[in-house]
Amino acid sequence: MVDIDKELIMKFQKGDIKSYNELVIRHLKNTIGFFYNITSNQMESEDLAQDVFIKLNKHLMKFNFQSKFTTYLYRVNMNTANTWFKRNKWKNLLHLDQAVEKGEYDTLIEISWARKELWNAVGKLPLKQREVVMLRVAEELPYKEIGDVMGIKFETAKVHFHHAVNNLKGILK
Amino acid sequence: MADLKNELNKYHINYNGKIDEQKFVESLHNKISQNKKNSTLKYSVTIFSLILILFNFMNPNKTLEEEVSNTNFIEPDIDIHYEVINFESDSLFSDSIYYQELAEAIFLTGDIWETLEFFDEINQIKEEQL
Repeated sequence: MVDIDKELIMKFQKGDIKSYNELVIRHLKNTIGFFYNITSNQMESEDLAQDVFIKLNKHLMKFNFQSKFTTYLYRVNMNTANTWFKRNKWKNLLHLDQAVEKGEYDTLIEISWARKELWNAVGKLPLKQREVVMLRVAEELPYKEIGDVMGIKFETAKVHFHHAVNNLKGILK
Repeated sequence: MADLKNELNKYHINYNGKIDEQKFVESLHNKISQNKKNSTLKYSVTIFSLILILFNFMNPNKTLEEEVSNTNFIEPDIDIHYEVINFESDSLFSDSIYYQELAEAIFLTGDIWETLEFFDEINQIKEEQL
């Protein structure tokens, strides 16, 4: 099977900018989707996706195909999301003060606030647990692939997720 | 426990937002070239600053007036540097602005080796982030 990503990266490494643009467009929707799951904000998701592709533009020149490009992309997404969590620690707390009371507005707004509350809680988890939840919920990756992205065994990924759920229960009480 | 696990899966959004791909790629390339310009400028300012510090070390016998006028000479450079860096106010540059301010603070204390060590640490952090 032809690995289109690999071909595009190899052309980019030889100086073909069009190949890089094609690579960006191929993975744009998924990348923005990943951040949209976490931030629930279109503009912010696009900004974060731009951060990701700026980093890739800089580092793909040295990419040596030891891992799949998508694995590498998930890792960059995950690190960018971690930085976002760090920067938004206080901002998220302030926003949660304005959370609606249950039954005050329609269900859609309630769900949206519940989602914000969940991701705010995820931001408080220890790093590994947070990363597993991000990849599992926002990216819907199987444990095997989560293990590849994080450089851990798939059983360990499962254990981190189990602990994360346990901790989330405590935080969301 | 199992409830929350199932609940979490329900929080996944299948993203269907509209994306203007061409506009995104265009603005991405603008940012990339701006980024490159900024890092070249940062590099030049750092080299220039280091040369100034070295020059200072080579001429240690100065009067107080000379020291003060030398400080005044350095500050406008830093202001120019701020203006150029600050016009990019997007999140990607927040860290670099923070690092620059810190580097300048260390640099103004006059310890060249601490400044160099600090730059080395920044590079290590950047490598770890990827």
